[in-house]
Amino acid sequence: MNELNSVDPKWAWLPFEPTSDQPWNQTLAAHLFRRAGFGADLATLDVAVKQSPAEVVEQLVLRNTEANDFRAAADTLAETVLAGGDPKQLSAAWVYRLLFTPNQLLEKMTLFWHGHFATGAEKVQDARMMWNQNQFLRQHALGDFHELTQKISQDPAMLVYLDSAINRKAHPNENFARELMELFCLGEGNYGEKDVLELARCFTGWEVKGKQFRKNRYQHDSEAKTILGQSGNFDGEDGVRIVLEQPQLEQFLARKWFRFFVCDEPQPSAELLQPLADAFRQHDLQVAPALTMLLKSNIFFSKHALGRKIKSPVELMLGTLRSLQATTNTQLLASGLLAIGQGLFYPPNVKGWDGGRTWINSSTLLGRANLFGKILENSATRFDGKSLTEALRNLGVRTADTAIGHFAKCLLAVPLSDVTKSELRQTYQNQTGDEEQKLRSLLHAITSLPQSQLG
Amino acid sequence: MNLLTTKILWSFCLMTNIAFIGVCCGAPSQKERTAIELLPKSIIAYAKISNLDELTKLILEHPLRERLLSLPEYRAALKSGPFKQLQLGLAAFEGSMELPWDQAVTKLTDGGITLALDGSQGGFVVLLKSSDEATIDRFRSFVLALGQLQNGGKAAKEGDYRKITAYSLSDQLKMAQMGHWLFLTNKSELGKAVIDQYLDGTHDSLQSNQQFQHALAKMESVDAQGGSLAAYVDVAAMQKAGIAKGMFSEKLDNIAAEVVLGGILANLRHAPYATANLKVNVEGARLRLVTPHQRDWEAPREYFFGAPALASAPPLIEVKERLFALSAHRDLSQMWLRAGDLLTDKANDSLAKADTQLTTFFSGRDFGEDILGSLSSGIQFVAKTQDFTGILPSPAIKLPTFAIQFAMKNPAETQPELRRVFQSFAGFFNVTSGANGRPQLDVGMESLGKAQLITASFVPDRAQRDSEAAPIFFNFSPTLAFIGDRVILSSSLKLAKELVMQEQPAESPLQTSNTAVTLDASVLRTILAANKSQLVASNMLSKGQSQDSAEAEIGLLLELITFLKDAQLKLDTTDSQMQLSLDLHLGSGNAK
Repeated sequence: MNELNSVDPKWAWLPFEPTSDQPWNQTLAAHLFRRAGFGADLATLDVAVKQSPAEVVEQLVLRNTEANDFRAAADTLAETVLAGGDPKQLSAAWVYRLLFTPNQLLEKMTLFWHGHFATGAEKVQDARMMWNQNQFLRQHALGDFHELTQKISQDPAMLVYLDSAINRKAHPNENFARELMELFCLGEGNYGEKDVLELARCFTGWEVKGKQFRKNRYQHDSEAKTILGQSGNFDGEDGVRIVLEQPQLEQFLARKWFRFFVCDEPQPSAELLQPLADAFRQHDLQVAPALTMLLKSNIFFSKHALGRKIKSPVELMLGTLRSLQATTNTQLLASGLLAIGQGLFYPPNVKGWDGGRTWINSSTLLGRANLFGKILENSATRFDGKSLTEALRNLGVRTADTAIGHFAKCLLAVPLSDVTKSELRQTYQNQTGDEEQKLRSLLHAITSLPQSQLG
Repeated sequence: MNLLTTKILWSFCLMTNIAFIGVCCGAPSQKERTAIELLPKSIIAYAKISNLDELTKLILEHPLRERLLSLPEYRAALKSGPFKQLQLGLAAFEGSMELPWDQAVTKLTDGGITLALDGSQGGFVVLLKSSDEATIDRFRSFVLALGQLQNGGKAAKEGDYRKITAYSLSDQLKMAQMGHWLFLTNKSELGKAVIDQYLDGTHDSLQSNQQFQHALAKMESVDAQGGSLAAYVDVAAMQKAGIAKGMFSEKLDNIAAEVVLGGILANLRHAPYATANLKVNVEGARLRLVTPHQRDWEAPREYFFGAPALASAPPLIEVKERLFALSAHRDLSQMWLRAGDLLTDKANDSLAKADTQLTTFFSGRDFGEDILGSLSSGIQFVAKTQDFTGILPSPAIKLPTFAIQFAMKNPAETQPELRRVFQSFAGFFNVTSGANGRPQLDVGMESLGKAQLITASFVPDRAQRDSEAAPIFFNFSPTLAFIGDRVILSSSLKLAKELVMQEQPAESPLQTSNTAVTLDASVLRTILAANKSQLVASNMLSKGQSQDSAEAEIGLLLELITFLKDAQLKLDTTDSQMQLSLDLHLGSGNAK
């Protein structure tokens, strides 16, 4: 039975107000930071619980619309890396950004759009083009969806990826037209084959030359077209506008955001999503207000959301590191993420990452544990600039039990059973080596638990 | 007492004294024994460190140490866990020795430190000799106290061997003091052998090992200034014992390793022993590794040494702002053709594939016999900085330029062949680049005096023409140049032009040198400094550090390089000896 069917849509989207039954505490604050970003350390959570949940959400959103020193430094790093021309190094530069950014929601949404408007470097092969797209997504991540979609339609990396670098009026390329409707805006069943053909005609003459977008008027089909019930002498921008006007758009995106931020399953009904969809349309397709509503909502802080998502590789690895104030070799991490199914700049196909249960199988589960092992063994991995032993001692954590409690508090959305705690204690005691090795081994054991895969 | 009894007593005393004097004059006293006299004949590796006080002084007074101490990161590191423990240990050491640590170390080791590996039992031993027995006493007490601390308060087990007390610090480590000597070993039997030698002073020691004595005589004497290490290894014994098997393989797995090291490793397989001598002083360090050599050991690696006579390397190429130069004698054609005798099956398989492809590339001409065979055996390689001033587009990452130079045996025949191949390569590159959206090469020809240059330069996109952060390709303008019997393949046109205009020396100064290498640290620093932003970015990504921390670390690296001036490596071979020398010259620590 779909338990979401019993949720009152009106209640679902009202702002969450803490009560004695459900107080605003570290657990809920951690949940917010895990979902709206990648995680937060205890000090950040302590600050957050002193504010209201609404205030924290507003800060998360607000912070992302202003430029800051970190963004400049991270952009400079990426530009420097681009000189080598290797998209894989660019992955490492983005991992670095995710690890250190104060603009967590911005980066989370950039990651979302990267999976939504999926573009893979293995086909594009040009690091500069991939970076330009990434910067563009970041710039508009919480902004106007109109502008985002219009501009991504003219992004050279996107067009190369969808084989739309050349689009001639004699043979309109249907690829981009189809993906625009099916994957980016409306979803399956909300358009017909005729709409695909007609929309493709709008994009004729759109091409990539010298890695730049341009319109070739000689190749543009300027005849009348009929798309989704509208007729006229449409060009590409008109085509995108028409698609964006469709009422299915806001439901389509609301459903994607629900799955991305609230829970993997079950599927919410259209009725449940309608208030969120309406708000998105009422705000003229501005992303920030819709997300603010989602992140402040009752349903976001309800049992339907807490611990109800399987963390993606990025969420798992970056979340763990951020929660423990850890830093590491980002090149190792970037290549590891690719190996376990979520290489930044390397989505598997045009649909992006399916997410949910597809993150976990026997191979990826082992891959996650192995990646944690490699990270923890790497000499570059430090915790607040120190060894794990020193970092924990500074927090008053000196025994195996307190370490288990501390890690559980920092990392887990679901509590540990006494049996599991006992097993972890045993792991610690059986480990040979010095204190540092024992603690890292304990941390490795915790991050490999099924509970750690949930966020 | 009557007269007879007195006479008997006096006679006895006289005889005893005569016997005593005889013992003293006939053999060194225990105090005078050297480490060589204490070690058994079965030692297969030996190293002696002398003049440790000079080395300690050098380290403590070097400007590098002062620089490190002024660094906040270094001072912070001194407060960290492991360093704190080290400092506690040092304080305990100074307390035990009743001297500052450097003076204590000097006094403790003024008779030398010797390390040795025993072939018969696989044991090692470390011998310390001090002129002051009390110093050795104090050190012994310190080691015992340290051992007790590490063993949870349990004192070391003691044993007695011929009235000398031996201590078992752990299962693997034993210690004993014999007067002015103290030794540590992991094998009891070896320790007993050392004690026997100390007490009895027999001739059955390392002293009587003729091969060792012969090797020792050949080593350079210890310089009065600067610490030094002298070492000896019985290579034949190590080979027999199966130590470092990889080094003694007949065939190598890696063609590059074969070209660089093949002759050295072949020599080691036959050499009965090897010696090393290291001298360290304020000007730098000098390491000499020497083994005997015989011409009949060279087969099948004659390509490495030269045949019928030993060949020497051509001169090192001299250019302004030179970073690195290498010169070697290698008959590459012979090496390629005899690969079956030199490389493993796996390496030969790869070589066979490469051979097929290269033969196709060279229009059916055999790569090993015809192409490599057309080149003389002298290889010269040089790298230097590139100056991009006034040149656009200028790459963001600034690499050094490099070139390789050979002499052609038959220029008239070889020149057109190589020219065609170069042009084919540029064409092939352009086809694949075009398909992948990368810049293409524009090929041309130039004459410079008597030299002919076939040039290739990357064509920038319109948008990149004035760029000062162009892709890495723009470091390269591959050029093939011919002048006289010389052929030069250069990564840049500028370097090719510089080399063709050079006068060639009539004779190589490298008379007995098979291989010579030089590296200029100041030029290395210049190149790294020009790419500082790249190094900082790489540091940030690989260590997850902030920009400030990465900049500090790279800044420190650049500063540390100023303490090195240059490095030289030479391999000299004569009919009886092979010598590998490494010279490091220290700099002043001031950047240009």
